[in-house]
Amino acid sequence: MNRETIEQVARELGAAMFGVGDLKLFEGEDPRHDPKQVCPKAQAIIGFGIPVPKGLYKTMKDESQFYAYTTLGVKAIDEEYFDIFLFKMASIIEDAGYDACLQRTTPNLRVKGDKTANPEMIGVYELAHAEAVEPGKPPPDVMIDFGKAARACGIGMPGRYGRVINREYGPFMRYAFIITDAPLETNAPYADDLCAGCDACVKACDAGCIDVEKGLDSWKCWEHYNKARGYSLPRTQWGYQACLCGRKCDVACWEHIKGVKL
Amino acid sequence: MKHELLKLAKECGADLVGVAPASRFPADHKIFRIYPQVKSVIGLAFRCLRGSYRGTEEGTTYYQYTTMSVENMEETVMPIALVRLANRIESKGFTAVPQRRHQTIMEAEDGMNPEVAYDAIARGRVEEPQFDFTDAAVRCGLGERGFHGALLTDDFGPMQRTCFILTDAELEPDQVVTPHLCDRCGACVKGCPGKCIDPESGEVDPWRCAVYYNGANGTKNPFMPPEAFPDFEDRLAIIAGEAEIDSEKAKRILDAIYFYPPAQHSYTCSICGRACDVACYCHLEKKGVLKRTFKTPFRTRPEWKFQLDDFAPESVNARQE
Repeated sequence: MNRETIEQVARELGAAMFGVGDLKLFEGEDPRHDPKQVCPKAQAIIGFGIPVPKGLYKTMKDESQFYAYTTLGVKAIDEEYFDIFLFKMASIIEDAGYDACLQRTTPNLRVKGDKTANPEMIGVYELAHAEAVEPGKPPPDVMIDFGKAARACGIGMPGRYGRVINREYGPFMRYAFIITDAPLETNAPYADDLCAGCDACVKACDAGCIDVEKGLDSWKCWEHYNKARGYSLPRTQWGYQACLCGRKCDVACWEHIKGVKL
Repeated sequence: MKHELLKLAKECGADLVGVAPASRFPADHKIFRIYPQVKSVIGLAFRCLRGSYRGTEEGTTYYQYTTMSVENMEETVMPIALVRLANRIESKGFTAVPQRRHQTIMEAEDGMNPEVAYDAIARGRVEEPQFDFTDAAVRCGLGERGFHGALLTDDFGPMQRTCFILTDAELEPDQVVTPHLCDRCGACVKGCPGKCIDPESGEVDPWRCAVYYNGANGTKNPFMPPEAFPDFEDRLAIIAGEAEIDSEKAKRILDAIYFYPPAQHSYTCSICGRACDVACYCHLEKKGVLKRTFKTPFRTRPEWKFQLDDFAPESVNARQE
């Protein structure tokens, strides 16, 4: 097993973006988000991106259909596709004798002290009481920052409004990671600054949820995300609320990066 | 056909496959109630990733074991594999009855499954037979029954989950394994934070297990506030893992447990991190009897533990002041 064999399987299973990040890049990271706290002997983090079909955004932009974005573009990828994907990828790594700690989204969890909302979910739990199990460790749960992880893997960067973006797919992509002690050749971190000189997302949001300096107001976004059209659609299983704002921020960002209209 | 099925099973993520002729099961076994024409039982084992136990071992992440090694395996990976394999068998002109663990249906009136919320379980459903998966796995030649009831295999020790297909196809059987892994070392008994495994018989008390699986032992639960279980006279005994617990009391304790949000499909989060299985795995790994080896052992440090004194009224009061 080496980097190439892992990448080959990942591509066969549908990952359009693949990269390996050096955990040295996380030195000085808040321990509550540090991959080393998940697996202390780990050296690398592997990042995978699965595209969200842009057709799902197109129908929201054209106001012809909204619900498929939530059921397929959010819930199916994060809850079903990535679960199977990660299991297969990690099995390959463990077959070679290395540990593989999976990092899928934790959409309904917030570390102690994190009061933000997740617009995609009907509600989130803050782990209000959590004690470090030993001196030197952070209180659980440690949750890695997907934007920083994507940057380390060279597959994307945290955009102004919190979404991970890259030149190939803009924000139309979802991510998962594996933290491992396997010695793998690493990528250079993502060097582009796709947000430089752009405030397309800020202007695109009808509810003014994004501030150029402060980024996304997650509670305002949560409020607007499924109420933007004056009617409601059922939440999907696992508490994903329907996106009815059409993620205009994402669409504007994609159009800016790609230089074409969706 | 067996060769083709083995290949497909691997493709679907199954790590171990074994076949038992139905004649290896006693005549009153539930497989014959479920499907009287059964001639072969195919057992499939899927590993639980060792990395998914890392979070509880380090005390830093709890989400990944329950979501990836319980919920994902039981609700996504294994069901898809079962349907694909059953369809392949049926495409050859046979019948295939896939069998998964139905986590929220139980035949026993007072039964409990520690992995799910107790009030999500329909009990006394004798109409809906389910067989003992460890027993069936042993008959299929996948491994042996360990002291605490878990299936132990040469590849993964106790870290796997199983599912089955009953079919009227006659497939070449695999040999039953001569038990050789479990040496009655007692690591599982000692590893359990709730003393849920009888040291003499190895029997697991499922209600007690539910209570401690969900984190009632405060010395092994970073999410338990120091003032937990205020309405229980024996709160410190509960927190120490030493209280007397019957099913009614277990329900009361579980009602008072809200340390960590549940996962989907009624699964609750494992706070003990399957300490029995982890202790067993560490023992087998140390002994060098597992076929699949890692570059580094799973346990690289002493187990962490909080002090029971942290939960005593004096310390709680001191903190509040």
